[in-house]
Amino acid sequence: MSLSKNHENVYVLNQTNQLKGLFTIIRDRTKPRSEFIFYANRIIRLIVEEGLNHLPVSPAQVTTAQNVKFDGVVFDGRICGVSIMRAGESMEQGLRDCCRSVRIGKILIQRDEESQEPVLHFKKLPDDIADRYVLLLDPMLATGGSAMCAMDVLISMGCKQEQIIFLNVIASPEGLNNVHQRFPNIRIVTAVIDEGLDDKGYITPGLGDFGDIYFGTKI
Amino acid sequence: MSRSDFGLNNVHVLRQTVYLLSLMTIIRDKDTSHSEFVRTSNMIINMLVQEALNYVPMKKRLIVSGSGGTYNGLEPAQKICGVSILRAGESMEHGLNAAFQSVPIGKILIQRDELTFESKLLFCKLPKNIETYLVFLMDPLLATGNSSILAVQALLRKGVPEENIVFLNLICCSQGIENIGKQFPRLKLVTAAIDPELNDQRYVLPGCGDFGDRYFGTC
Repeated sequence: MSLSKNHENVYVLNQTNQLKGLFTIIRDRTKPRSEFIFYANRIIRLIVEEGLNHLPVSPAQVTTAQNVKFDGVVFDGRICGVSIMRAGESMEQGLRDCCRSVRIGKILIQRDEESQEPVLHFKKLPDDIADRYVLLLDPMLATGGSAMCAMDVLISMGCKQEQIIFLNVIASPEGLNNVHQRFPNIRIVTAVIDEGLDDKGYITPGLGDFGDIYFGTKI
Repeated sequence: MSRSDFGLNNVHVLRQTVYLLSLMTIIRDKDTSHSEFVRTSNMIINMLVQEALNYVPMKKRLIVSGSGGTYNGLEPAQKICGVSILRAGESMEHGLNAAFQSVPIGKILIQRDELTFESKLLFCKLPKNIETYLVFLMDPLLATGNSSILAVQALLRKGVPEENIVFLNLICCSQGIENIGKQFPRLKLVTAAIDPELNDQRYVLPGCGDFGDRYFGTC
């Protein structure tokens, strides 16, 4: 699948009719939750497949059942997923569907009630995360505050920016700019870049609160 | 199913078939690989969910079959939702989803201080109108019961009647059952095994180690 580059290190999925059709369904507030989950999962799978494409490979030769040699590739390096709770957890299964026994770390970031600054509340990560490629998972990238807080955590655990690939469903231009300024070498794979943020800081047109809809805790 | 005489009147242990015991052997074994642990846990979780679904109240439903005959059947009389106690409880969400499509999922994060053994509620997102649901509370290991008690208290604060809570669990400890049973005698517990004791770090013995670490591969 080909892709278009927007900022450097930001990769957006090809805006095919297929993808637009999927987004039309998940953005539609009248659609039942079961539809949201099914079609969001499809978009997530596309994003994961594209994200995995950014991992390094080495040449590998195999012999087919026809006794013919085939020059192929094998993925280099080990990976793990790190989901930014709660919404990011919706993307874990998509990753597991591609990488069967992938290790999954989790980070919980919440905004401080007074200062509105994102604060780390909980983390459980593989001990050897500094040796792995990290697929950081969060479906919505608004201001980028939570994402950058998570990236800070990964860097503090010894990960290099080049090892981190942020997988995302909908990004705002502000979020991309903010992340890219602080972490220019972290790659971002997203399915679509929306217009911007509304005055409450939600992505617009967006789709509302991804975690609430996906897990059924919507008002 | 067999009943136990511990604090809770409603403790149901899965029938200890040789098949179940062979699965439990795999997850208890510290040498079991990560992928096999995940695969086997999922199978046991499916068995637990199947058993627990017998607690869903049913009402009569008369249907007409394709051959023109009538059948006095049943259908669920109450909505169900899952509430997982992060992190380990999240492993059980898929089992519930497989049985009930798009069941709402609430999440509660409780952290146990490993020095004082005191537990604290860190995060709580529950479905709206949860007091009308039958709630499947999910946590694979039940040790002292302190985390579970905090989780149940959070549910009660939202108006969920005690008798509407079914606790799904893989391995519990008799001490934990007593602690919960004293406070919430009308709670129901469905488990695959009751282990006799706890070690010095208050982990279930023999247990299976740290379920969350083993399932998500963060050990």
